[in-house]
Amino acid sequence: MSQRGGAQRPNGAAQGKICQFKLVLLGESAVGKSSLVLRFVKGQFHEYQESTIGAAFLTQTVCLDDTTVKFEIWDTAGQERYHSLAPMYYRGAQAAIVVYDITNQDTFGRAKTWVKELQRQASPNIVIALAGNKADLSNKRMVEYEEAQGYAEENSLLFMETSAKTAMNVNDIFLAIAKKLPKSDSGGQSGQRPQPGVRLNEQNQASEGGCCK
Amino acid sequence: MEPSDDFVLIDSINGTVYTMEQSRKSMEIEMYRLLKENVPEVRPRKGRHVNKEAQQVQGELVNFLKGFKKQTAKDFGEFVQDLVDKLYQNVDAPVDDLTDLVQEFYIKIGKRMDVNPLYKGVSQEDVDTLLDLAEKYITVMMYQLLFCPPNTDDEEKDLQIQTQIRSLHWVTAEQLDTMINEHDTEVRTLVDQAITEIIEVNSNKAPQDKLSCVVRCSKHIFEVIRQSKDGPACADDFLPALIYIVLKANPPLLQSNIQFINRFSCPGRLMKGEAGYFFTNLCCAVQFIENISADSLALTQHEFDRYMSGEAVPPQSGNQYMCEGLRLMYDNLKTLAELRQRQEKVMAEALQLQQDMKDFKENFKQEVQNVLERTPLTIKPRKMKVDLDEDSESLDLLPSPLIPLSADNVAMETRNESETDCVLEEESPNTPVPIT
Repeated sequence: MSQRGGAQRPNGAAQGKICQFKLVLLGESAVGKSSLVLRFVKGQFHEYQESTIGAAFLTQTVCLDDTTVKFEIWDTAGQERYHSLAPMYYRGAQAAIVVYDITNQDTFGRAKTWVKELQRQASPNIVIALAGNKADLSNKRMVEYEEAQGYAEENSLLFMETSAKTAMNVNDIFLAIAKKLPKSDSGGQSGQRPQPGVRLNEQNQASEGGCCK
Repeated sequence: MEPSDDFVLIDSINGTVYTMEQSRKSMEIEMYRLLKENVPEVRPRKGRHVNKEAQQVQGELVNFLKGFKKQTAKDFGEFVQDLVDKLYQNVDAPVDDLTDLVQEFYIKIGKRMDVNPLYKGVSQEDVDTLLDLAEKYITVMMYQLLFCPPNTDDEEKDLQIQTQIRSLHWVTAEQLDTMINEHDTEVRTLVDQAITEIIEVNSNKAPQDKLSCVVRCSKHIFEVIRQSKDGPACADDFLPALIYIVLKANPPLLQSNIQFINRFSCPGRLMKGEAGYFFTNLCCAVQFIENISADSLALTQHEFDRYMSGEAVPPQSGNQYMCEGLRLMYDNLKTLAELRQRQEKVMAEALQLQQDMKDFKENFKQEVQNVLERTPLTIKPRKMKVDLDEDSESLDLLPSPLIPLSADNVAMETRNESETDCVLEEESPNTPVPIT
């Protein structure tokens, strides 16, 4: 099905600029995809609240100057056997975080495969970030920072080493993505089919734990 | 008054002569026209079977439109009715054309509500509700036409996936990499609830209601995962569990339902939001099942072929509680074992209590003994009371009491006494009562 995004609503009440983006999480299992998101969304690591029953689909709002950016985060199954299903998840996504584990070279290899696949198959304007997770375990490091950064520069990806455990760079990587995403009403894709950069009304924000709280 | 065909009316304006029956019909048409001007209405035409559900949804839409300006409600109603008419005109068109018609409608009505002055001031919330109701009305109303149309291969695909799921009856939770522990009664209950919800998808008509079932099914799956894992479930846990549930449920007309949702949902519903996410997972699960292979279950080709042909059964499936009777028996055994454990505990505690009581008795005796030894009981001879007033024979021998000499002194004394009493009584309420 083709994408049909919502457009601006001149008829609606005056509202602050709110942009909603779909962000998909890719990476092998056990690299800490869901820990990263839980840290970003709930500020938690390991100490889960009763209310958090699933970390597969979460939303979080960040404020950026005069714009409110609402992330809708779609987790994907990282097991090799489910790899072929990934396109269904990243279809229509405006951003992706490819996560690898800095203590495991294989996961970095897999991350490169994901990046290649996204560049080939995902929507052409997708913002891709590479996250080297588990940066707190630097004594067990197998993937050098320079190596990953070099790769990210070659492929013009955002890159940060993160730690869901210590919260290092977790908010930063999402903020960096938010900054890079087009925030004009047309979704920033002139002359292309409209991307669902849907504008929301204020009441949708009430229940979300946002930075405005 | 009984309407009679013989009763003749003359329309004074047109000069036409009507029988009563004709006039009743024309009045009905007139009334219908008037009604339709205000609210969208199903036009009763030949061949259109309006079921109860459609009427109910229509009622919902009409009721909601009552909250808007007359002009706005009329415009919206007409727009919706226009699509319904178009769909009826294209009954035999390929399903892709019908999909385009419906999707174009969603975009057009969305745009109309954005820019048309009639919809000025309508809140985003109301716009969303209007779109939801329009979707519900159209899909429920036209369900027979739009669901699994005969000129598609939907039905064939339904049968294919159904057969495929049947032949995969031997797939275990372990092979799919999920930690669903069906031996646990609570988990089993949740699994059953998830299965019920996914089967319910086919009982609902509107895409939004079908999606709600998928969401509820997914929530049950998250609960299942929570029973077997610390912390919240991520996609690594969720997708395999969903595949397992789909395999166990074998939901009716699965492909038709997925296609129907894909074709006729409001745009955006499937690309974003919780429902969109879970629906995407369902599509992934179905795709995985369609393309399942030895690799995807971590089996050798030989093993896979043997299982598929029914020649062999995987070793794990013997442990599964496939049979209701067996499951009940194991549950009962488990309960009995628990009961036995509790019984033993009660017994042990009772013995302990007995011992404690014995010890207490001993201790008590000892204590008493000690006290007795420390303070031996010696009975002192009882002192004899001397009662001065006791009547005795010697009283008679005493002289009689003295008689007071002055009566005035006695009166003074009595008065003083009664005054003091009075003062005391007055003061008493103010004196604070000591708290004990």
